[in-house]
Amino acid sequence: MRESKTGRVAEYGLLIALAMILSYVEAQIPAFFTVPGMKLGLTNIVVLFALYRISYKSAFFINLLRILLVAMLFGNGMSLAYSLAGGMLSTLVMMLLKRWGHFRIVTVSIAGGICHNIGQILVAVLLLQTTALAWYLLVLWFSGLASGLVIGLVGGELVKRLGKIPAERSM
Amino acid sequence: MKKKSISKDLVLVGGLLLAGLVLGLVLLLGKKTGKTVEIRVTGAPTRRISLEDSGRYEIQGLQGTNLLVIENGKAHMEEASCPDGVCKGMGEIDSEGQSIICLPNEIVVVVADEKSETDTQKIDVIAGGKG
Repeated sequence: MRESKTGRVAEYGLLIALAMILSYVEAQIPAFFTVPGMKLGLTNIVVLFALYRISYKSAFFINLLRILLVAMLFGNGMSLAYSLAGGMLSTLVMMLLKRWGHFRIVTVSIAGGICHNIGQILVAVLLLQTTALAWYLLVLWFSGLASGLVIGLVGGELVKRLGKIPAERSM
Repeated sequence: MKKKSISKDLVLVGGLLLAGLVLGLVLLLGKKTGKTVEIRVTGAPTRRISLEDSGRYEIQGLQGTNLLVIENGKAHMEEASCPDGVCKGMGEIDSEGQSIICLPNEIVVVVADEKSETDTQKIDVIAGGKG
C-alpha cells in the first residue's frame, strides 16, 4: 500500500482524536462508576482498528498518546498511573496475541479487556499496599471479559466494514 | 484451516473464563468472616466497630453524613448524603477485605483482616507523628 507521510500523520491524528473523544464520552456514563474501574473500553475500538488495519506500532503509540493527552486534559497523576498501566498492558498483550497466534479480533479484545483491568489492579496494589483487592480483581476479571467481548464484536465489524477505505485510497 | 483458528480462540477464551472461575472459587473457599469494620474518611482510619455491635452509626464524610447500619454481623450503608447513592447499592459486607466505598464523601468501610490491622497501626503512627 502506497502511503504518504502526510497521510499517515493525518490518519494518526484522526484516530488519536477519536480515541480521546471516546475516552471523554465514556467518562460521562455514570452507570459504569458502580464499581470503580469497571468500564466499557470504547477507546479500544480505535486501538483494535489501528492494530488490525494499520500496524502494531500505530496501535501502541495511538493508545499511549491518547492516555497522556486525556490525563493532561481531564485527569491527574493518579488517573494517569492507572490508565497507563491498564492501557499499556492490554495493548502489549493484544499485540503479542495478534502476532503470535493470529487470533480473532474478539479473542484479542477479550484478553485485552482482562489485561487492562489486571494492570489497574496492580497499580492499586502498589499504591494502596493492600491485598484486599482480590475480590475486586474477580469482579473486574469478568467485567473485562464481558466488555472485551462487546468491544471485540463492534471492533471486528468496524475493521471488516472500514477495510475498504485504505484500499480505495491507494488506488 | 478456518476451523482450527476458531478452536484456538475458544481455547484461549475458555482458559480465561476458567481462570476467572478458579479465582472466584479460591476466594470463596478462603473466605473468612471478619470481626470488625474499619471506617476511613479521606484515607485516614477514623474508627473501628465490631460487627457484633448492632446499631446505626453516623459517619461524617467530606461533604455530608452517611448512615452505616450493622445488624446480624453484617454492615451496610443505609443512608448517604450524596445524590447517586452508589454505596447504598453495594450491599451487606462481612467477609475480610470486603468494602463499601462512598466516593463523594470519601468514606471507606472495610471489613478488617489481620494484615490491615497492622497497616492501620502503621498509618496511625505516621499520622500521629505529623500531628
